[in-house]
Amino acid sequence: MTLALSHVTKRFGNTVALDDISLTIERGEFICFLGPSGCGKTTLLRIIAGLELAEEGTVTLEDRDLSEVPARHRNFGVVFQSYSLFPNMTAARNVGYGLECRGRPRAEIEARAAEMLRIVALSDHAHKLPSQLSGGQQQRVALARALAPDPEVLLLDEPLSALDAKVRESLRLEIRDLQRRLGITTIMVTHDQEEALTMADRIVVMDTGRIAQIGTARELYDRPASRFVAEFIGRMNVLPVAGGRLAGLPLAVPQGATLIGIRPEDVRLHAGEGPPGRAILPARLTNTIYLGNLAHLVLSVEGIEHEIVAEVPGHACKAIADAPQIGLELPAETIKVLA
Amino acid sequence: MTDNTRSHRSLYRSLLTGLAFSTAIGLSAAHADAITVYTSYEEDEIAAFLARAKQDMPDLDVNVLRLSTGDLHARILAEASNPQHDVIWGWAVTSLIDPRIGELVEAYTPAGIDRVAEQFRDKDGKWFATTGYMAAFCVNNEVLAAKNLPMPTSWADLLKPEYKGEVVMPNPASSGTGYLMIASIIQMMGEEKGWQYLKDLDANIAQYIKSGSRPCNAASEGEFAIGASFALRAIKNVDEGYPITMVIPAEGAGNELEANALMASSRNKDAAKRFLDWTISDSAVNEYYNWKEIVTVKGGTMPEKFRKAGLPEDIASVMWNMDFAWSAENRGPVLERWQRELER
Amino acid sequence: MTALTADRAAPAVRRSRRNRLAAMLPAVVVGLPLILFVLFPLAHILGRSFSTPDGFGLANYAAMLGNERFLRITWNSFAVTLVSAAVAIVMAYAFAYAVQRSTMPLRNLFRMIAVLPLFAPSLVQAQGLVLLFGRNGLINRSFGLGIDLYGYWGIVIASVLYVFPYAFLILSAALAVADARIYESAEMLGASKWRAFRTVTLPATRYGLAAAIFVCFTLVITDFGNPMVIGGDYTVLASEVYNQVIGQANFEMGTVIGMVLLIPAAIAAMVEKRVSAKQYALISEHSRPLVPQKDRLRDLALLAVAVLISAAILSIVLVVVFASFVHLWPYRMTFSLRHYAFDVQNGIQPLWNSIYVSVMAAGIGVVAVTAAAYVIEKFPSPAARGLYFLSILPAAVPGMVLGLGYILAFNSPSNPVYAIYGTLVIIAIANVYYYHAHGFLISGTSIKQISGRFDEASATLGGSRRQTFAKVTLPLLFPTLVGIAVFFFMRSMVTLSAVIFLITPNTQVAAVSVLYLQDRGATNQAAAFSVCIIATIMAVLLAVRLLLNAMGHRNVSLIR
Repeated sequence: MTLALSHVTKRFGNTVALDDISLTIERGEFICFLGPSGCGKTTLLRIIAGLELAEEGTVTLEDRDLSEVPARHRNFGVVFQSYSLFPNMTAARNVGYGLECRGRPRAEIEARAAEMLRIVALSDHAHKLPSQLSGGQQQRVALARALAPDPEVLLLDEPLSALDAKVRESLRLEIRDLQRRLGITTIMVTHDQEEALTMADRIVVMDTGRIAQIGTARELYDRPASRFVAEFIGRMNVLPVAGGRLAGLPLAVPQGATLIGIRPEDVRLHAGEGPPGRAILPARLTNTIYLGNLAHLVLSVEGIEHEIVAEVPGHACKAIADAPQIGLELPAETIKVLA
Repeated sequence: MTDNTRSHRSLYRSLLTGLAFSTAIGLSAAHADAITVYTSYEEDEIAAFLARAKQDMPDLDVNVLRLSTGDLHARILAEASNPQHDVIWGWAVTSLIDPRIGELVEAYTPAGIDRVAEQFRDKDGKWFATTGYMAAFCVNNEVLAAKNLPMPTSWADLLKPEYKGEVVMPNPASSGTGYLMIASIIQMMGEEKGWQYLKDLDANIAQYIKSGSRPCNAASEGEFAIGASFALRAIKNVDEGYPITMVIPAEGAGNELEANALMASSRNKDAAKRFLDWTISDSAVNEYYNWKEIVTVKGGTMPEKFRKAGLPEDIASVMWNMDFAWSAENRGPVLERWQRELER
Repeated sequence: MTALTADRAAPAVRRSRRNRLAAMLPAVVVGLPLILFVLFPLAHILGRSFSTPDGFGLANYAAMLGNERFLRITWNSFAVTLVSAAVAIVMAYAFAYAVQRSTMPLRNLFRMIAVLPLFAPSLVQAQGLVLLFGRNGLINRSFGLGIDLYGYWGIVIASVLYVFPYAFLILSAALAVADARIYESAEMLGASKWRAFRTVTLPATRYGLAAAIFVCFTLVITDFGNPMVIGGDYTVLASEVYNQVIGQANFEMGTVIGMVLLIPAAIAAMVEKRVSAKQYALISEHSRPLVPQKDRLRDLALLAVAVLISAAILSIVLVVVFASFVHLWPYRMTFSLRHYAFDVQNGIQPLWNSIYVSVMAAGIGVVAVTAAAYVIEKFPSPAARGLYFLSILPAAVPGMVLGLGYILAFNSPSNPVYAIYGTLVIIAIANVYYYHAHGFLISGTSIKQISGRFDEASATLGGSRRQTFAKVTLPLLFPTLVGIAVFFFMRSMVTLSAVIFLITPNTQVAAVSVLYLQDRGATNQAAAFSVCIIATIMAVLLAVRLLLNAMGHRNVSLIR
């Protein structure tokens, strides 16, 4: 199932929530919409679900235009952040609800509900009301409910954000596992980069209504296309350059580059002046953040306004901190040009 | 699981059916042989009379609206363009004489009208009176004793300063009893002295009460010492066991006739006429005697409790000879002046 | 490129315009009865108040303003209303505070006593006061005190007791929510208890207070049952409307006074609406509910207040019950059932009429207010905003004014509504629309809570609007709907004001019977009728409570 968005635009009053979004999602793919709150990711999901209408643009599934198809005829499964289980129905009836609405025979509904509850390992709780279930259990029921009618696409709207850290982690794996087994095209909205990095095949990073970058976790980390992506995924020292030089030091970057980034773990530190012949800046240690196996050293370099963070193994921390002089090296192959 | 849902579902269903059903009944309230009657008879009188009517005419449904005389007057005039009733029953002649009411009623001579003396019916046949009532004071013996007050015997007595705040009387604008009182006072004392008397009396009046019977009830319950009301209420309350004395004012008791009439607009005239015929039947008249101090049809006998309460056999001797034509003619201006000068 | 964009945009624009028109339709359909049964009668009142023998003009108003007696009555009304509202608020606040914020014993019992008067016809206070404090009432008879209550103070005391439960319900709700953290910080900052009350409690309940003040104000200024029974010759605007219309069939003057009543009530309602909209923002998600701490002195003082007020309420109700069972008040106080024979015209029929009307009002009311709230929530459009206004408009309309409007608007055979004029149906409808605003707000709050979340979930699972409503919304709303039905039932059983002008000989209702019986001095029978009303309501409440419990719905508040 290829799900394609083309030129999707949505305004709320004068603010543009989504600005000309185009995107193609392959069959069986797990996609995450990642971005800070207000970036438009949830709105985009709701447009795909049919809960919101786009002003312009189309949503197509296998060349079928869904733009005018209301949510209830799209056959997309949706799991909401707040579970939204019907409090007046048991877990089993919640799961069977989609089939009930489609007027399927009772026996089929009950069998399907039982099957789905077995898949999410809640068979014992079939006759409980949502209020009698824990948060994690409720969200698994919600997942089973969304999947029961055999949807074409599964849409997850921050499904884990209301849960405890432990439950969240196990449910992540469970969802991912289930998705693989069913081979269902899935889109998940999240603001948690770790969640996106661990679960998604591809991540769509969004910023103020636009797609900032699409790629696998690795691509986004290694080759961020912009400062926004660079800073949103992982940590990045962002430094302005002019004429290919940083604080007078020539770097192996294109002449026109104005902004470069380097990950803290890529910054190399030398006690003392460092080996000669390499591009090394003298730095001064202003702060040390000891994290056990790692340490973050905050350094300032004359001529650079921003402090630079370097990540070093915890055991290497003392040697550098005690050194009378620190040399800071930015290895050429790790420098990312951001602008 | 489904038990819960199922019981919900059946509840909605029964709720909805109930709703539909109840609406249907409400809509079919009126049915074939039913008439609507407006009256100023007292509640308990109505109950007794209608019980008798039901016996005599089991197939006729009589719906009754009871309002005090003045209120009924206003109501009938207000509805003049679209009257809701078929018959006027037991309503002050003074009000019926009003030409605006005359336009609404139709002449009808019920079977056996000869039983009613001519002086008690309209010469054009628009109304005939069967009963009447007269003014009387209900005086609470306990209150008199407790406050060491003398027993009043006349209207003149009520001006005594010691009765200040102890007298209640009906508001003549809404109560027929109230109006017959001030009409009789003005008739017996003359225009000028009559009004002066009413103003003097005002100083002693605790409340002007909208209903004609409540002053007596209030005095009977001891709320006030003296309630100017009508004889029958006094008789009934004496009979009930209230510690009161009925006092018929020595000057002569103002009185009023209660008459019946057919509405020209009635949509069910046959039934209405049947009812009017019944109002002078033996059966009705016998019942009147159980309740009314004045019955215009000879026949029945005065019940024992009337005598016991102090009503003389020959009530004509204590009644002021009312000029009903004057009462009717001057009702408007008298009430207007009363409301202007005395209403609170 | 621009051409292409425009091309794509076109169907979307068409789509939304069609949707907009379709979205208006439900609001219009649901709004029509409101226009017919609220706006149309009000327009008649307004029109009639300007109608004079010489055509349209201000003559009626001029006549009123130039009439010394009318000005006095207006003054009387305000003198009664302001004083009673103020006293009732202070009492209700103290009582609600005692129930919600103290650890005094029997709080639930006191809560029940506070709302007891809601089960009785709206003139029971005057009824009870006359029996207790009349010139020959129990107190004067027993102690020979010579208290004379008829007039101003009688009305004020009756009115205070009349509106007390309404104020209590509002203030109790306002005091029920509190954020413990604020009180802790106040204490940490060294604020005394009194200071904490002044600087934290009072401001936090200011919206509830405002709402209660305006509700009391409107209730008192438009009440005529109590003034008629205990007012003696002290006339107020509401009883004057009754006199003008029922007594003198002076519809023009009736409507003018009606307008005079409508204006302060409307202003009060508008201010209240504006103010109470802010109530809910005060409690944040992180609030921690306040659990009252023991404080002997405070609890003892509050207990004393609660006992005193409860005694007043109970004595009123109990003396009415007592009077209904004695042979001859106040002389032969032996037990007798004779007042329950109801040997008056129509007998006990008015009670059945009342029950019938109230059940009908409950049924129609639930459907009407829920439909309005549902449409406003689900089909937002300019028409829905109009519907919202119409739905809460009745809060500003005194019952008598609405009833008067019904006579003027519907008592004409050319009017389609005339078919039900003079039946019990019109009385039920009058009650529905008189209490529409309150029922609507309850229903709206509930629908808002339920809807958004579950509707989308249902839609994505393939549920149509109808399926969603039947399978999800309605079952979830059910307890609220029962609550609303009970609300309409209770109010319809006890109300006088909206129905007083609409009753006919065979559609008399019980509360009006009480008024009529009381008005002609049949005290004991009036008391017996009141007791029948109270008993009916209590029986219905009990039955509904048991039914709800059996269905597993606990914690549903039935008394609103």
